[in-house]
Amino acid sequence: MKFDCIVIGAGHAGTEAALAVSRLGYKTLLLTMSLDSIGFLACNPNIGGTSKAQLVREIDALGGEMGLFADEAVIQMKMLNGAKGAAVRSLRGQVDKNLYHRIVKRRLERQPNLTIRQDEATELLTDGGAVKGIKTAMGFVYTSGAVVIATGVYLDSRIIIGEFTKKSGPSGFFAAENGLAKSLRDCGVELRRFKTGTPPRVHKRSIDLNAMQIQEGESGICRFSFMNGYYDVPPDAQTPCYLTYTTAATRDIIKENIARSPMYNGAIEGTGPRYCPSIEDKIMRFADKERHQIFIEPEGADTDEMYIQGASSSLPTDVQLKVIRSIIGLENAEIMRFAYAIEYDCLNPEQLLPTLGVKHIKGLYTAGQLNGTSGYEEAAAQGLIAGINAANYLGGKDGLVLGRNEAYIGVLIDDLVTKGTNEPYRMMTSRAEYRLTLRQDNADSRLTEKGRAAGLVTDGRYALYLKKQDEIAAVLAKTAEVLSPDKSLEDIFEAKGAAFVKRGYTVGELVRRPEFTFADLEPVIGSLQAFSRAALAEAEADIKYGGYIEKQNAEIKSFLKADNIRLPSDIDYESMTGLKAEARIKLAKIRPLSVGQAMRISGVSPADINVLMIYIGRMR
Amino acid sequence: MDKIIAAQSTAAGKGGIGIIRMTGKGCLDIAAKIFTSGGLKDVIKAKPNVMYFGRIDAGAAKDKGYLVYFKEPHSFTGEDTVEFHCHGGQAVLNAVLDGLFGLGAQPAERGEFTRRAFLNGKLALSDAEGVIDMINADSTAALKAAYRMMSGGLSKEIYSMQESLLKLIASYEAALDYPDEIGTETVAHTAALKKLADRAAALIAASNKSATVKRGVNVVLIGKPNTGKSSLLNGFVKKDRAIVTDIPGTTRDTLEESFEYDGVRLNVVDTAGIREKETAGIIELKGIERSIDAAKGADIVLYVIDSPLYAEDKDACLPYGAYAEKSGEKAIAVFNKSDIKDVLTQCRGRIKKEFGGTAAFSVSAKTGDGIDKLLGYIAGLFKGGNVSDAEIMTNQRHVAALRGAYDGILSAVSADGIGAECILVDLRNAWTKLGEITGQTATEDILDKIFSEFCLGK
Repeated sequence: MKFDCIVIGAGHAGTEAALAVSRLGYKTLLLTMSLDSIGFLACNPNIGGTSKAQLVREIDALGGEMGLFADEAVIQMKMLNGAKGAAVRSLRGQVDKNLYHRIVKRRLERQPNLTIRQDEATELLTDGGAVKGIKTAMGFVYTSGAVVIATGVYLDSRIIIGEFTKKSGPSGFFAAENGLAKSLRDCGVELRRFKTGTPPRVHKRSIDLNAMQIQEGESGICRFSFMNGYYDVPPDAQTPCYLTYTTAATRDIIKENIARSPMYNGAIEGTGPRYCPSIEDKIMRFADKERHQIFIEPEGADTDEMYIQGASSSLPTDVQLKVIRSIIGLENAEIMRFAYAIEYDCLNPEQLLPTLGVKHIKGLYTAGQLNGTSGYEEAAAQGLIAGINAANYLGGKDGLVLGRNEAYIGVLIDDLVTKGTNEPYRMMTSRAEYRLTLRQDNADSRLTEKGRAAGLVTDGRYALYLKKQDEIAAVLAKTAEVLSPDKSLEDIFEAKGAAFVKRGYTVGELVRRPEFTFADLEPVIGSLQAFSRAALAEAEADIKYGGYIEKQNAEIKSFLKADNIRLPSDIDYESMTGLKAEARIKLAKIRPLSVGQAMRISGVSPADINVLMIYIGRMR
Repeated sequence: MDKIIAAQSTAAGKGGIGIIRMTGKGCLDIAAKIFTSGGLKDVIKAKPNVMYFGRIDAGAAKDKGYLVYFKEPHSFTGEDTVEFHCHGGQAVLNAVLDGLFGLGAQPAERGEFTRRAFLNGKLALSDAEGVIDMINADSTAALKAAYRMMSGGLSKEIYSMQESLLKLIASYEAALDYPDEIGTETVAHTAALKKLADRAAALIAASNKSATVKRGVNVVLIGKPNTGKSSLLNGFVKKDRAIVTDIPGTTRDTLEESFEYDGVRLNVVDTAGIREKETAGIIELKGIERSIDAAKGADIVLYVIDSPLYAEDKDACLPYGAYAEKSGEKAIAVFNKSDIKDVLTQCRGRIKKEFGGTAAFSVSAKTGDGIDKLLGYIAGLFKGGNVSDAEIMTNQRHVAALRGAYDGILSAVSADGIGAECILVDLRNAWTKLGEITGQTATEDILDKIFSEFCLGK
């Protein structure tokens, strides 16, 4: 059978990729090993969180769909860092996992141009350095001009629980063990082994929730998708989570049994993520910490399965049970699923272009955990970019590459392809140097035009975007207004406990101060009814960060200067005598597209860049 | 690529004139901050290729000289360029350069002017052949070497400052990325930041002193006419260079003499005597103006006083403190003509009252008595004693980086009531600056720190 594009894997990356390519008019095949694992949330039952919410909003602004799925499946919303500045606020939604899966599956089923099939890809077919199609376990041969691989943690995966180990995908799904990894190696793709894990799930009736602190949701916060406005469900109508702690007994049990941990006795060779440490890791590494936080999160609205966040482990089942029962409120815990570690094949992302295309195989794109990342949001972001770029490739258009100054997605992909990663890569706000402007409240302002150009932003969304832009402009126009120092202004100052000097104040200078918001000034600047909450929030953040954004813009300017110097793809780094050996090897491997990218490669020094500049100067 | 760079383009050392060249977009804006000219009201509107005469005021030094502006692409580098033609004393040139660095220009890397010229198509290939070698010999290698050349104590101090800063950054970052886990712990690091700023300030102060030693200590002789300043200068260098007569006001211009004493280079400037304007001629007035400027830029000001006159209680000294801050360290009272009268012994009480804690010396330019003692004292201030060798940064680029780090930390300290995400903009800048010295600047370092310091993650 013949397709324009084949997407392997229907997780969060594969879903976005398949939707993007098929929506852009290409006949697409989505291959999954199990239709029941489409859009499966294999680990935590939530979407968003610090820096990840930014990713979701960016996906949404570009016309991707994760935000829409999450909004529909949400059972609790919370704004992390809500009391802090807009740039570090992050939305997190607890979602019903099963509902989420059903929403995604239904969405895919209704997509024109998209064929969904349950089968396992076993071989990548190439011809003269370009993809040609795939073969499957059931013996089908599908041809296509482009292939997106998003196999998640399934590639030759095995799970480990203490001494027990088994070839398996996550949560009992089968591993993809019938040749795809080998085929990729045969095609010259460099693979390696990573490891991740998940905590146990416990039956709700066995948990003493009264011994824990209830963690309620919030209302009046902007949803994930720009299309969906604000979330105003009252907290008591949302499903709560709970907070509890480990005890001294937890520590003793783990210390006693540490030799039985596969992480410690060497049975696991894969590299695990630092930001997702197992409970045994936390106890061993932070021995003097008295207790560790454990969050109890519902897996859904109509299930009693509870996710024990903070207790991921690869200890044997008998030890796990003891450890869980040593936690306050979990003394009688009934474990429904044990925690496990999972080891899988992924590729070294240094082999990728910033478009997520594999450098040496035309038409081949990869996304998600296969690229060495971790997290649903990171996967979806890559899936969307890989999908757009597969379509662009098929249509003979230039690839879409977002800059580090434009989006967290840009930071994510640039980090991956430029610096590589030695552990599953997780997005963090500290990775984004320009985070004051890469906010969740302005993702639509940053990226809607790009999504429109890519062809995924619908007319409805675009009109909504233009409306918000007009509102922002109108709000900003108010900032020049001078307020006379009359009684009503003085009252506002007094209410905020701010010192009032009898003089004219501009709206802008007041909003810039930490204590005032536009809403506070309503009595003197008139009703803000005409403006959406989202427009006000974005304008306000831009004003408050004004001075710092200026500082940042100066940095961005010099960053862009280097990023805009393109490097020809046929540079012969081997012959550049001035380069240090390490730089020469790294440059030849990564083949940066710009001087800016070259500068970010570890092992390439400013002196090497100088030499590089001189060579390209010569070539001009 | 974007930055403005500056360097001295004439050979180091003493010459008739010295040229400082600054290139890069916006260099004229910097020039406008230190150059004033009667013939050019608005320096940023300077016409290209025209020499303007004016005053160069770089804080520590003032000089009269010329400014020439070359508009891109018609300059050596092909970018906007400004040249300052100053007087040739190295002290002045260094001070002007320091002033430019303080205003945002960066010390030029070796070969950087040539490299820019090449990249902008101003040099033929053959001209630029040597550039790669030059860069190779420099940059990181030189950076590393410079870092290694720092004394153990100093490199440890910089490294330790960077570590402390990294720790602070990590804790701010961790709180932002993991609000569930550390959101409740209050982050109050201002005190630690202040301490860090103090450490940086101390290093900068010490290095300023060391720079002084390197270029030579600027010593300015100042005093009323005919107190024997020129004779003193002659006494210092033991040769008759300055013209000496007994007509008050003979020295109409400043004279500079440079020599080494006890391992410390002293650039001694003799100035016109300062007296009331009514009695001075026009040429002399100009000289007086220069004397005052010289004193302002000096490291040490020697107030030369006529001892016999002082003993007679006549109007013997200049209004003390009017020409240099009265700080004990900078000013020294020198009672000349001790062969005639040694007031230091005879008028001890009065001197103590009038000069307070200022160092006072009794000398005779004529016999040479007391001169060694005076010079020894000055040299002593700049070696051993006041500046510990272990804590001196000698590399200009290091000092510039440290200054940048200091500015960042200060800005973070003053960011009252502003979120950690803003403070981090400044702290990360500061950290990157320190990294320019130690060679550590990767984001990975911050992440490593976060995960090693805090127990985080689900």
